Amino acid sequence: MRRTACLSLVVVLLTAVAGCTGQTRPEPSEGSEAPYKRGSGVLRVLAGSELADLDPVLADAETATGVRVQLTQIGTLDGIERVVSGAAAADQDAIWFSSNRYLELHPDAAGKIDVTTKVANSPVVLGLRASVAQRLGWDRTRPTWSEIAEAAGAGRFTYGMTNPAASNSGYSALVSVAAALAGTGRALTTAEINALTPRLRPFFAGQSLTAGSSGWLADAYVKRQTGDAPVDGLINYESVLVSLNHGGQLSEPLVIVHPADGVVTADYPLTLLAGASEQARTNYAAIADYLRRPSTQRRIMDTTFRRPAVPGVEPADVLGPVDGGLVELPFPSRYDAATALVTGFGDALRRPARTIYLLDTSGSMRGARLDGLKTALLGLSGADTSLSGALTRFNGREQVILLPFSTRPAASRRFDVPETNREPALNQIRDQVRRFAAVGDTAVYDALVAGLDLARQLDAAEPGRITSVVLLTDGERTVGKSFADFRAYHAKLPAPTKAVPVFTLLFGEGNVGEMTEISALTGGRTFDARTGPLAAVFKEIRGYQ
Amino acid sequence: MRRPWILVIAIVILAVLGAGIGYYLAVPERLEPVRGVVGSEKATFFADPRVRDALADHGLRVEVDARGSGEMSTTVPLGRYDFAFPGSEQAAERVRQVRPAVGSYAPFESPLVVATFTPIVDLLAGQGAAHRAPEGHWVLDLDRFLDLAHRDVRWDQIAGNVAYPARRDILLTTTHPSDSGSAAAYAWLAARQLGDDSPAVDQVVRLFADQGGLERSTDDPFQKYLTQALNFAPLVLAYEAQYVEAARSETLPSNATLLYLSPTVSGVHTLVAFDGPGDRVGRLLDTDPELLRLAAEHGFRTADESISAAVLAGLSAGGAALPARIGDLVQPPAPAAVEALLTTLDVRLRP
Repeated sequence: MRRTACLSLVVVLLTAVAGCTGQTRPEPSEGSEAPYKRGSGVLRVLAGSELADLDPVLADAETATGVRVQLTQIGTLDGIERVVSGAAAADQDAIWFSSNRYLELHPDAAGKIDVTTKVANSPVVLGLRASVAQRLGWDRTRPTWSEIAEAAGAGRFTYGMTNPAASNSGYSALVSVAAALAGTGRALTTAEINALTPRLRPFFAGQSLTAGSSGWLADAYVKRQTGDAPVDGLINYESVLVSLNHGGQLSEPLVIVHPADGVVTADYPLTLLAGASEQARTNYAAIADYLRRPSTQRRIMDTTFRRPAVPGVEPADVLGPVDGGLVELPFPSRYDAATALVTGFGDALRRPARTIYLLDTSGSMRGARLDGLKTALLGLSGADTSLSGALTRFNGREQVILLPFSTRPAASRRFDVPETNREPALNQIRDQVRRFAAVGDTAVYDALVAGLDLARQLDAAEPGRITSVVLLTDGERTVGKSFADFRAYHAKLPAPTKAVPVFTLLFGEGNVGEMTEISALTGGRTFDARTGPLAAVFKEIRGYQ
Repeated sequence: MRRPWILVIAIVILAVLGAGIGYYLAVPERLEPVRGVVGSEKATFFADPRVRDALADHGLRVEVDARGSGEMSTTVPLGRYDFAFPGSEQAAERVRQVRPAVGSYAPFESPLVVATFTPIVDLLAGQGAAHRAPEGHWVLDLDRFLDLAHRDVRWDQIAGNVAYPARRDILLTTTHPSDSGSAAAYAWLAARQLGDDSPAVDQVVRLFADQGGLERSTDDPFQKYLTQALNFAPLVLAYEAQYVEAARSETLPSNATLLYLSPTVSGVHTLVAFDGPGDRVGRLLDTDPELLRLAAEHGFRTADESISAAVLAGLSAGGAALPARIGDLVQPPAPAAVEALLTTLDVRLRP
């Protein structure tokens, strides 16, 4: 009885405390700041993956404001498409990417976005292993983008960068190097961009690692440093590079190179979508207010190394030049020029891709699954004319290899898309895809070995491409080699082939564990296609090819 | 046996009482909520606790969203607001065309200026584009400056320039003229200097197109001026009030200084009230001595010059006091006169 009384007492006291804290406003951590604004419920935000590192800040924002920020991750380009088509407004209240510049140039963007709050700043710069930076002398003097491009073209260092069609950091780097090499001092026009092609190509020849997101790029760089094919550096947000230096995972620190002739800086605008509900507006105002408080700004800088967006918060010492040491390079001022840069990158500038698709055409794929696969590949061959479709289609100079498999791997078909006049090659791809039929068993690992053998032969005969493999299967291996066999095979591959990433899809009744292990073993990534359309995932994977 | 239960009941009663008192204390005063959409340069004014208190004394709780003045008549959902408060009479007129007003108030104004840095002013002075006015403050000669811009002169082409040898054209950093009142006013000023033939319009277009992507509201570039300083841009178009407010709160970057445009135009910040509550806010801003004094503290020039003169007299830029009166101030254009220019710019900048 006594124990019951004590328990009741505790429960009552807890209830009383909870009742009180539910009603009183928590005090800001800095005495001079005003009380927090309050909201309630959820603020649904479509966000870039690079903002995930703000989760602890957002957790405290919920305590202070009563608003839970629910981030739904999406690539920059898919995000733009959802905003301009109006799809985002149907299930989201706000968007939060590292930049709105490209979105705001889109002819259909006006009227889709409402209030904007800039949350932080971070320039896109180059991080290089200390020994490589010393060899190039860039730990002592800051090179220009032209000098960086020349050294990359001469093979004096390799680097990773995200795909400009999928991620803002890669796009910002592309804008920077193009604007700097043009050297006109003003925003580039479409005609000027086309004329720059021969001077930009050498820069991208040095790229040996690509990715669809800035976070994945940083992870891939860390994994590669201990493997057989390490990369010398990466282009990313200053915040990501400084975080790597403080993360304890690097065998060699990065020297952060701020190009002497300028950068493009991300400003992280939290943006309300037009048509948001009154509750969403209240919640947005509370979160925006929380994020721009000096105490929050200081914390964002201390924990994620982004520069502050409000005055009065001194930039941390680890961050690069201030007071004019960094010049902000001009972003294109027109949508056509901004888009010409991305398509030009894919068709003419980047190291051409060698893209090997291993496609399950066993009996279980019959019906909707095979139709979905055909739609996805036809979309990449030009049938998808949406913005994301246009920017993820097969590129000029790309080598596309289709290798269907069922009981055995079928003969592979290779398509070389020319730099100009791509249509005949794309037509051939479409013809081939339409002929796919579903019958037989599932020899997953026979197909994987065939695909990597092909990669090895083709890379030996014609090196210099960025090679990757996509594996789609909707079921367990039923015949042929086992996962153990594949692991043994992979261990004996020569270094360049061992570094070919395999991107696996979780689909149908496929073996989730094995698919995840394959991507981990090869430095690839696993994509979940179990709930959405296959075409969307195939487009997402394009960022990594 | 019975005692613990008495204890529990007593605690429950106390807890309920305590929660009740807490609830009573936490509920804010019953104020009439009023919603406004304001040019971003006025957002800090409305966020100032003293302004909020002054409005609360009159029973009002004003919540504002910051948008570009030009956006107010195009993409802002005016239906949800009690008032709009753009940065110019021209933008106010366009707002009134979209939603009828019950009243309009122009409680204060602020001239267009350029927020910059001492070494940058020296470079421009060397090019003959900047000079000191007789009163001592620095002035940007718009004719000479537009000539530099027209000839695509870059900062790194100025002989002996070690202060800011950037490979960038000499241009003012502005917002988008379709979205923002300050950029629209600059476009009009430039067009006025250059004439209105088609080569002149091309020149005006290039003042914006050559900058690259443009922000939508005046406070966005100005905040970057404050936080990123010369890393962001050497010359940032702003309202004088923004600079004054930053000077008073000691948030200016090092070497910050101010250039007055010559000629310049004053942003007549005009509150367009759509209903009774919006009208009350407008009338209070126009007449309440405390609110007028606070507006002056935020850097705005009030109709009664003695209120703002006291604030301006306490500040200096470039080693000289801020001018009590702006020289070479041209009358803001009639709304219709800007309309054609803005339409042309919108078509040329947003194909």
